[in-house]
Amino acid sequence: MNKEAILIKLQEYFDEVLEEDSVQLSRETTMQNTPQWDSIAHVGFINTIEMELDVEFSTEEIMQTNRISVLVDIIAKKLQ
Amino acid sequence: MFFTFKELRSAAKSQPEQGQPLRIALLGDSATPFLKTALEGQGKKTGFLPQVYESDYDQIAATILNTSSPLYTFQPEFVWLAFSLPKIQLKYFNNNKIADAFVQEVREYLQILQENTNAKILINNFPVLPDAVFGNYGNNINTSLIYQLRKINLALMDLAGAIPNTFIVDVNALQSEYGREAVFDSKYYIASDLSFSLNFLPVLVKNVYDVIQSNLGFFKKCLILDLDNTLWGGVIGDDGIEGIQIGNLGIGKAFSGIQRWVKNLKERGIILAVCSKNTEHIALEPFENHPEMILKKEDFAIFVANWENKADNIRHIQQVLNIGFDSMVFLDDNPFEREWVRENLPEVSVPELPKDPAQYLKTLRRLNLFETASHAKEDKTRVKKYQEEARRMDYKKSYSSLNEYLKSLNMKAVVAPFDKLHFPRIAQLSQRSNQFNLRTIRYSEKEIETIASNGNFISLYIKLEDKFGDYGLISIVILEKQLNYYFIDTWIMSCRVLKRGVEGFTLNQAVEKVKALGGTKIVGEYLPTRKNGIVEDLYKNLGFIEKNNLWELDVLNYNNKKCFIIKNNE
Repeated sequence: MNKEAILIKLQEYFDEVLEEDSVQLSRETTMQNTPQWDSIAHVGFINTIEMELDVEFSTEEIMQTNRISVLVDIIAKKLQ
Repeated sequence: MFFTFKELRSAAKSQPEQGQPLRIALLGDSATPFLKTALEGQGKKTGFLPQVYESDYDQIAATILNTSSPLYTFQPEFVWLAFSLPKIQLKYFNNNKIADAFVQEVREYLQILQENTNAKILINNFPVLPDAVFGNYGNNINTSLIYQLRKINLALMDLAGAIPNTFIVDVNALQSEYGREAVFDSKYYIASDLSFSLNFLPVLVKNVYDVIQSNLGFFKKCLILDLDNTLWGGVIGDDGIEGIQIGNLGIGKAFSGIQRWVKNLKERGIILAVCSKNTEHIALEPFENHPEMILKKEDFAIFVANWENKADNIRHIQQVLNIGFDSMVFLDDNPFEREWVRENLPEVSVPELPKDPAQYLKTLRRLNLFETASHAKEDKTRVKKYQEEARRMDYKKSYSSLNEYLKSLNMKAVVAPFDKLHFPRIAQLSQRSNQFNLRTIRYSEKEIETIASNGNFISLYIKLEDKFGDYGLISIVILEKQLNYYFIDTWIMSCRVLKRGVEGFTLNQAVEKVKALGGTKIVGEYLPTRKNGIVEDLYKNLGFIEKNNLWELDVLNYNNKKCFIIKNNE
C-alpha cells in the first residue's frame, strides 16, 4: 500500500471513530491543530488502525503519533 | 449477543426512537469514557435508552461519600463500581494486606449508597494475576498479591450474598474464560490509562447488562432441547440405542457434559422441554433404557417428539407452560431448524452452535444465557409444578363446564400478611412477574420487609394447592392507606394460576381486611407495560368504577366474588 492509499484508509477510520465530527485529513493534520482529535478519539483511532490493517504499534508509537504524516510513514514501514 | 466495540461506539451515538429508559451511574478508578460509550451502545442495542452518569476520573470515594454530589440527584437505578486491577495493584504496593481495608471500604460505600439511593449495585471483582514475586509459593504466603486478590474476590462474594441488591460483575471469571491477553493491553494502559482493552469492553458490558436485565425481570425460564446430535451423538431412529454416542462411546463425553449442565440448570429451576423430530416412543427409549443417560424423562416438564414443524411445537410448549417466548432458549444442532425457529418466533433465543459438539459448552458458557438476580428454594421444584400443570390440562378436557372443573380441583388457599419466612419469595415474585402485574413496581427483600412492618400498609400473600399438587406462594397484594381510601400499590399473581378464580378470591380477602380496618374505598391503578396486557381490564371486570384513570371500588356495597377456593389457614 502506498502512502496515498494509507491516507485514504486513515480518513476512513477517522470518519468511523468521529462520525459526524470528523474532518478532512492531510499530512499536515495534527492533534494540536485538530480539536476533535483528542486523547479519547486517538485511542479509538489507533485501535481501529491496528485491527483493520493488522499492524501493531508500540506504546511509544501510540503516544507519539500525533501527526498524520508521522502515522502514514510508520504504517508504510510496518506494511513493507 | 456480542457486538464489536466499533458497533457499540456507533450505537452509542444513535438516537433510537423507543426503548426503556435506564439510569446507570458509572464510578470507575481509571479512564472510563470508553466504558461509558460501551454501556450506552450495548444498552441501545438491547432495547434501552440508557443515561449514563460518569464520575470524575478516579473519584469513587469522593463521589459516594459526598451525599450532595450529582450522583444522588441523578437517582441512578444501577450503580456500577468499576474497580480495576492496575489500581488495586498500586494500593497493594503500599499495603500488602490490602484486602481487609479494601473490603471494608466497599462495605462503607454500599451502606452509604443504600441509604441514599434505591439503586442496585454492581461491583467488578478482580482478575487474579500472578506477579511472579513469590512464584507458585505465593499461595503459601498471605501477603502475596494473588492471595490478597483471591481474598478480596471471596470477600466480595460474601458481601454480595449478605447485602441485598448487591451484585458482582465477575471479571475474574471472564478472564479465566477469555484469557489475560483479551482482557488487558498494557500498551493502552500506559498510553491512555485503559484498564480493559477496547476489544474486551463488549464482553464486559454484555455481562453488566445481563445482571441489569435479570434485575429488571428479563431472564430465561425455559430451555427447549433437540435430541439427536444435541443431547447425544447420532440419530436414535437410525443408530438405535446401542449406537448413539453418550458416556463412553465415541465422542459421548461431549454430550454427557452437556447433559450434566442441563441437569444443573434444571436443579436451579430452569424448566426443561424436549422438541424433537422423532417418533415419540423411539425418542423416549434412551431416557428409559440407556444406562449412561444423565437426563431422565422426569426432568422434562414437557416432551414433544413428532414430525410437525418445530415452531408450531414450540408454540404448543409455550401454551402449556404459559410463559413468554422471550423467556425461552432453544438448542438445536441443525442450522435449518434454528433458522426456522428464529424466523417464526423471533423472541425465542436460538444460539448459534459450533459444528463440533466438544465446543457446545464453551459457546453456551460465553453466552451466559441464564443470568438470574435471585434464587429461592422453590425454584428447585418448578419442573414438578409444570408437570402437574400438564396433568391438569389433560384432566380439564374431561369436564364440560369450567365451574364444575374448578370445583373438582379442591383448591385450598392460605392467606396471610407478609412474614419473614416468605420475604425472599415475595421479593422474587415482585421482580419476576411481568404479565399479571398491575403496576410492575419491583421490590427488594429489604423493601418488602419495610412494607411488612409499616402500619400504613396492608400486605397479603396467597398460597394455593389443589388435588394435583402445591402451587406455593402465587399472589401478593400491597395496599397503602391514604386519607380516605386504600390504594392498591401492588397486585401480582403468578400466571400458572390464571383462570382459577384466584383474583376474585384475592379481592374478597383484601376487601375483608380493609373493612376490618374501617376503610370504605379501594382505589386501583393499571400502569401498562409491554407485557401486562392481560390485566388491562382486570379492575373493570371485577366491578371497579373508572375515575380519572384510576379505578374505585366501594367496599361497603361489595358482594363477594364467587369462587371455588377454600380459605385454609392452619
